[in-house]
Amino acid sequence: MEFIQKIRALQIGKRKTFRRVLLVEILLMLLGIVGLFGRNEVYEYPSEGVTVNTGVYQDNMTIEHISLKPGLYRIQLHYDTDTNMKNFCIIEDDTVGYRMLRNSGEHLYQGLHETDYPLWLLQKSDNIRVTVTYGGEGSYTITGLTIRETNGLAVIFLFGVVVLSILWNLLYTYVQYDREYSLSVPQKGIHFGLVLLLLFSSLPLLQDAMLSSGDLGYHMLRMMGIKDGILAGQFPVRIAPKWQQGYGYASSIFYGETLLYVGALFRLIGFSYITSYRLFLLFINALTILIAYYSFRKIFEDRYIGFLCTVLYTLSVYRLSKTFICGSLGETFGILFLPLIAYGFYRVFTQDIANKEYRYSWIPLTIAFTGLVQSHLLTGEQVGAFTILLCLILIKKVFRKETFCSLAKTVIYSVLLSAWFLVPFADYMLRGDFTIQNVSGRTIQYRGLYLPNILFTFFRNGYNVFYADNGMAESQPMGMGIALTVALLLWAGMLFFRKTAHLRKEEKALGNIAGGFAVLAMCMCLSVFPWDKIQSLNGITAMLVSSIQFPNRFLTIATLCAVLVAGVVAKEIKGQYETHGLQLYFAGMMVLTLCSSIYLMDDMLQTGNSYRIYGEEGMGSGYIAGAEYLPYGADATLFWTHDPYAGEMVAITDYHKDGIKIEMHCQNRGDKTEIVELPLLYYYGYRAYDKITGQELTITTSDNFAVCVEVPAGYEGTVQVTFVSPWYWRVAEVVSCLSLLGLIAGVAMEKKRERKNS
Amino acid sequence: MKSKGNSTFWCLVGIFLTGALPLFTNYCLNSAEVPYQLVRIENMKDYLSAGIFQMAMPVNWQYEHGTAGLDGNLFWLLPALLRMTGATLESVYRMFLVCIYAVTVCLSYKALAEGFPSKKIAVIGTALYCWAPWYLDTLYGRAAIGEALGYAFLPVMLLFLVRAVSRKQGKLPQWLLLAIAVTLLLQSSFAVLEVGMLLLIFCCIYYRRQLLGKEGWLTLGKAVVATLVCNLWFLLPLLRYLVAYRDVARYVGSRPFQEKGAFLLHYLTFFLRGGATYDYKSNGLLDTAAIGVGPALTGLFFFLLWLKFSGVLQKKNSKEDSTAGLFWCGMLGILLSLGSFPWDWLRQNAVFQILTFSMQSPVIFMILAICGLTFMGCGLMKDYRQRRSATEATILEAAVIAVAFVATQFLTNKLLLDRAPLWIRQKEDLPDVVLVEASQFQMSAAAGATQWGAVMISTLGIAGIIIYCIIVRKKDTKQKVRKEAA
Repeated sequence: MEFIQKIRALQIGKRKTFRRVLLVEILLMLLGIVGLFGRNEVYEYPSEGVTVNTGVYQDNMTIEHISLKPGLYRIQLHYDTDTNMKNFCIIEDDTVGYRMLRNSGEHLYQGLHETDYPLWLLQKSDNIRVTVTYGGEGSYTITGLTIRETNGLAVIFLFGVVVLSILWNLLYTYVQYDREYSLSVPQKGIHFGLVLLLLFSSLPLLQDAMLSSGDLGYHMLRMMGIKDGILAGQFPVRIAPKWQQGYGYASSIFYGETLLYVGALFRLIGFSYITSYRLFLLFINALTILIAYYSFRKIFEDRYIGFLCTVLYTLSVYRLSKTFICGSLGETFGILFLPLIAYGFYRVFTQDIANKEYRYSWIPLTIAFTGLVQSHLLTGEQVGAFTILLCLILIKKVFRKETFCSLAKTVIYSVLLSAWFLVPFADYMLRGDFTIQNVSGRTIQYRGLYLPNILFTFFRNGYNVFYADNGMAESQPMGMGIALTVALLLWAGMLFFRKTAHLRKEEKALGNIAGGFAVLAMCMCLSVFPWDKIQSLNGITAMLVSSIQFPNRFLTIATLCAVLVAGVVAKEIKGQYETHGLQLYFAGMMVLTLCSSIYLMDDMLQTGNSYRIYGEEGMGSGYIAGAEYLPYGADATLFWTHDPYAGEMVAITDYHKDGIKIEMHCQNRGDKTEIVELPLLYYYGYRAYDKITGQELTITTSDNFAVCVEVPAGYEGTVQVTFVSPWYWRVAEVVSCLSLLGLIAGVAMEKKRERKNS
Repeated sequence: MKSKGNSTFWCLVGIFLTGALPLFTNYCLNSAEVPYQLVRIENMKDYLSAGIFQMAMPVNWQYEHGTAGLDGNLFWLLPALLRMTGATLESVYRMFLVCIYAVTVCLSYKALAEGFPSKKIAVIGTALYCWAPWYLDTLYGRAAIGEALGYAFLPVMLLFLVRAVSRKQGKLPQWLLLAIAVTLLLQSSFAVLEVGMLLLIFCCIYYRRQLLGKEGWLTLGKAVVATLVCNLWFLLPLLRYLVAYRDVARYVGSRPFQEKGAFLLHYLTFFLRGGATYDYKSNGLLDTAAIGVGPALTGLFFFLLWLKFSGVLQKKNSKEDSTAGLFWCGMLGILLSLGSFPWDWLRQNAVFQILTFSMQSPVIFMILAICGLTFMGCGLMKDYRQRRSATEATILEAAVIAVAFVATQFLTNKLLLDRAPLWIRQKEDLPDVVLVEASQFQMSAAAGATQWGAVMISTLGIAGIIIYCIIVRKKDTKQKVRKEAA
């Protein structure tokens, strides 16, 4: 509160400069708001304007000389075709400037008769042309073109003004605060260092493309799913409506997407796909840095050591590799929360239980575990295993009343806060039969690392993950980086030569446990670790081990623990050699980080292919990675959008599909129940009703798990089919909301009461 | 003192050897423009044998190196004459590059030594200037030798600015120094000349008190006249050529430009691999050419930011210090070199189209960034030594030189390892490069009266300037003697 009072005392609002800038900001915001209106023009181009070009290499049809002013448009080309993803529609213009026209086009589909993709035009042009290139199979005809103007650019402008205004105001307040209260050089040093760290950890985001990486497309589709789900009225989003050519995919039920909502927000604002992804990763980097700095600083009670650990953690080879080369966002999210878990456990096990603050020791752990569960269950699985190990090591402390209560609260609150995610997840896992439940035969030991991976320095960009086939040639950068390896060796040396006199008991214990865990996790990454034997023990271990996919995932734990060891070593060096020793250690670690991490980052930027997708339609929606969340046995290659399949006796008219909502008029002229198969992937929760009477119709599935509606004999009416979350999912959502509110209110009231008492 | 002088010399030799490493083989590193440069030498040799001096050598404009055709051939006389002695084509080319690099080292040291009293700082500054990745890429990666020549001579312009801002007097009068600087740039590369002019204009505005006083205007005026007179023999044919080929020039001016601009990321890359791609539009940074200012300069820039932010470095009157103006000019250079700078929008205007038609990409403005950041870095090291302990200052200097050395080694080693060799020793080995037969640029006994008139005027002008300088110098010496006697 002292800080807030100091800010208040600055009386920023009464300063002339601030008021003037604020006035400008308000005017710009008003300008942005005004710009939101009146941008709804519709341009129609009939099929008569189509030019047909034929050539040896390419046949195409174009609609030329389209004039548009700057704006964000939806391109709706009306067509008929008898093939899927063979013909491609795109907007081109050779006369506009660099990056002034952005779109990624859209494939044409047999079952669709209209494209609908975004075009960002940043410069007025009279020479825009819509081109459809022929893929060499079947036929197609263009029946017209509609270009719809949206207010997307104005929304982006308004958003930009708001964000920049906030940043400017914060900066102004910071400068005034510094002038008034003179921030110390170390404080400023840390602030400057953190900003610089954000810049250098985000280097790949500074180009107008993303590095092509394994799972990038998948996570982009997840973001798309959230955006489309929200636009279709779902919250929280359970089924991504446009995934798999509109069949829908329930990735979000199995794979927590809480953080991804931020990325989807950028898409909802109107930013292009690639910009949204880059902004989102910038946000994730910033959050990682803040959480890591907060946690490490609290653990080591020293801002310099906190900063050092933050640098080592944020620029760790494993994190960079997972984020930018593998595109494994789930693990990136997991890495984000791990320092908080380390801090939480450190606090629970080392803080004086008589201390009043101990009552809140469960909060960091709860936040971290909740975030982890809702982001990446696999990392949660690993953390769970090491948590059990930690509790066994510190069993005496675990069974202290206060500590046990803290841990119990962590578990209870984490479950309650995550109930909205866990209940549907458990529901599907118990009720359904999905591919993910049938992968226990997949072995992982042959994917393990070699020892040189762990002791490597100059990591390079590479794509090989199957070391059994290619050795380390062109392998993905998997390791901890030389800085962390050196820190572990230094710690081993300190223990061996008994040079730990300047550490407190709990710090030494931290070093020992973290060092031990780091070594254990590193061993678990290796190909010599007996994963195959563990997997063959029983069904549970088979499923757990198989779900790990790659043993190198344990580098997550190894990296965190090695960073903690690096912090402990720094503490000891500071104790022994004071500031100069710490400076030398700091400089050495920076040089080694430069060798491993910055070298890797520069290499990946100069050797990795880049990826520019402006609208998700351009890359198609069929990619589902390992297809883990499909009903077991479903063949995703058969999911092409189409009109409903029905028997001869059923007449279907006025068919309309909007995401996962379908409305159609059905008439069963026969004397027995008929089946209507819809282009939707079946998941528990789909319901079919008569629009007028509310009569529920039975839902079944086809052989390939498409949603089927049973239409009774003689039925005639409008049928609505949509996904409806079961009531207990809704209850879980309410429970999570109430838990969150209760938690915030409880802590706030407690703090208030304490302040009053003091 | 002698040992200090010796150590400086050996340091400069070290800088030279480090940067010129790729030249100590028996082949040329393959790059886009090497064939053109070799054809240029061979062609000049052939023409010289026939009694014709080709002042410039235009090529088919559709080639990427089309703009280099406007660069003067005066300095190319050196390799051409060497070639006439019978030396192999590639060795002549490499020898020429060795000379250019040596000139870069010497001139940049001269300019920096004038700006900063400490020889150590001047040496470090020389290393930063000569080891800039952009320059190494220009020499070896792209083989844009005209631009490299311009870069080598740019320190003469910097020397003029340093003297003008600090009101120092050298042996040469200021107007003559400026005229020499502009002449050297004009005879080297049209594009670098424009960058140099931008530097001059920026500094004139920034230091208007020192540079645009009565005396300043007089200096500038004299320099303009001297430059025009001395270069009339080249400017006149150039103008005639441009008039004759104005449509082609317009076409070149309308080529894609902005899309070839750098990313901010280029400035933040430590380990540049020296790829061959300048197509950032399609490939991003994949296999990107080694364009950048180098990690040492980037590091110094962030260090300066930190010192300013933390208040360790106090604000001082920038108008008395040549580093401040050049620093801001460097910032302008960074901005102009980026692909996000709205060049396409500006080039819709004919003035900008004409001004930039001779440039291949906005990246050439990185020269300004290198100059600005080098001076800023040297100024920072000087201030740091004054304000902090000698140990701290030495650590900073050692760190800067170490980072610069490692990054340069990395780049030159990568270039040597990754670039295929070009074994072109004889005329027969040369690839086809379509040259334009431009009669305007052919200087021979059969040239017209106008052309010979221009040559006469230039010769007389140069002779006049030399005589004038000798007379003024003698007068000054006499006055000095009189004053001393009095």
